[in-house]
Amino acid sequence: MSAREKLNDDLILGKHTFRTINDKVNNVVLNQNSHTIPWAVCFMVGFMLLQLMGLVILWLLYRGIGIWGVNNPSMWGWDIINFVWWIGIGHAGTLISAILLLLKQSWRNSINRFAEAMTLFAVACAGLFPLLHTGRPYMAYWMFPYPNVLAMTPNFRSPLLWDVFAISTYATVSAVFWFLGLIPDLASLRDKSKNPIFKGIFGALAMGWRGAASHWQRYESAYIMLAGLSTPLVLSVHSIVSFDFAVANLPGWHVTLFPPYFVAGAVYAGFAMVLTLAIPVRAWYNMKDFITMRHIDWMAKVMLATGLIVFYGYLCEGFFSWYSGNVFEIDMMRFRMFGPYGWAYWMLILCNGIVPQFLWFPKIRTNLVALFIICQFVSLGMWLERFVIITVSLTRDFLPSSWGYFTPTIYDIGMFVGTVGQFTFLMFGFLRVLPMINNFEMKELLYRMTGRGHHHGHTAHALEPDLAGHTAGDGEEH
Amino acid sequence: MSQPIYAIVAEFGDPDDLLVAAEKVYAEGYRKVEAYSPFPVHGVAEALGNDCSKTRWTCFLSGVAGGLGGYQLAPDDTRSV
Repeated sequence: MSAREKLNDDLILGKHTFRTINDKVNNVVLNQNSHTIPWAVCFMVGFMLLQLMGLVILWLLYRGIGIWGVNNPSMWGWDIINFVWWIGIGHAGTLISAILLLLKQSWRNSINRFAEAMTLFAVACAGLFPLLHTGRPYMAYWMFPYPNVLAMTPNFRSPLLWDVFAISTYATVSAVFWFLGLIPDLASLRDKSKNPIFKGIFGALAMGWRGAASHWQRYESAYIMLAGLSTPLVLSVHSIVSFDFAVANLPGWHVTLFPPYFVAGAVYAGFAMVLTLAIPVRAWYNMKDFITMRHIDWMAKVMLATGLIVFYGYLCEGFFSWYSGNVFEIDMMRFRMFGPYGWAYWMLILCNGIVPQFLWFPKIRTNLVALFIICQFVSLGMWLERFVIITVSLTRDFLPSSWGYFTPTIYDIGMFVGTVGQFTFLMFGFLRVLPMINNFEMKELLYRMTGRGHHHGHTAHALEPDLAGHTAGDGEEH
Repeated sequence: MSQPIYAIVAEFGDPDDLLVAAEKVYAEGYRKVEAYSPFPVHGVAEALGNDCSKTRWTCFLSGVAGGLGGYQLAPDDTRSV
């Protein structure tokens, strides 16, 4: 991987035609030899850590959540930190797929598919933590207000219940949105696949997609409407997650600033994760023509902008705890900075306040190695942010007699590392079985880039084979 | 005696040609026409006289139904448990 690549304004580089785009994207799925050692290493490591998580969960179900470090007064520990961290990471996918679609940002086309997959897998990791933290995950359905004879109804005044709805809505809409976007590409795989079994599977999943004008019209209409549904979710999900804290009366949590700064932090962490995946994957699968340095540069800029909002949030927290004149708020800030977890606070300032400032420099934004390292700092920083918020407030309550210190156990670490493994496993599994880049949107982008009216130009000639291959729909073999 | 013509298929090398053809065919009075493309070519569906108001109404009514259904889940506050 060369560290620096040239910045170009084109969203598709190289000499591409509809056919080459189609082949390149489909090839990753159809030609199983296109997966190399890096894929195998990532997949295997992910799989091993997933097994580790299985063991940890088994032991957890047997012994109870006492095996975690959570105990009075810190009833929330790594479990909720990890939950918030993973949920936040998912937000970049939704932002890219929904908000950038409504804003007609063409640069979303090559990154939306795997960003959306990332959202789904991140939500899958996030969901595990509160589910297991209930202690009786097999009773999880009690969280839903279903008609029952137990005279039991969930407390609708609790943000924790709002969370249940926020996360389940988010997971559902993200999954539907992702699948809808996949349908035309699944049809393309069905048409191109030589293997009858894969053909059957892709065909069933494509649900009879023929690429008819009426299909496309309804498809686009439905897609826009789903984007409209997802757009408020980008803002609402992490707002509600922040209510878990902000609605409580604990110093350091009872802050009106939380919703916007949590949302900004979510997008910030999410883009860091998209870049963490995109930088190596585009090199391994040679997708540099589609995920260009322009894309990477813009993602880095979004990261910088949201990072500044997050840092502003930290400054505001400091200022308002002093300005409130409230002894508990002032002390909370003191404990964050100079208390037993002071190291975490200053690490957080380093990771989220200082390191992202390097993104101001175009040279660093186009330096893939530097950018990758910055993304790791951002991910760590966003984890530490939740650590500082949760742990310091819980262990430094109003009464000094209820103070404590939180220490994670190996099971906390195992759970976290396990979800990282689950995420990696799912992500690399996805790369192998589904197109990682939105095939038809890239073809449409090429059409829009080459422009209308160039009937007899060289691009028009290049259009022919692929269009001819597809116009036949599923009635004719290509 | 020749067989009755069931359908006619035409291929176009360029999305713009497809659009022009769709408009012409519709103007000629043909209504049972469909155009296939590997990516959405904007204007073709409209040129063939399709509109997607059905999708919109389905979405709207589903939303209303879902919203009302959601309210049904909310507990009755006046009930003493």
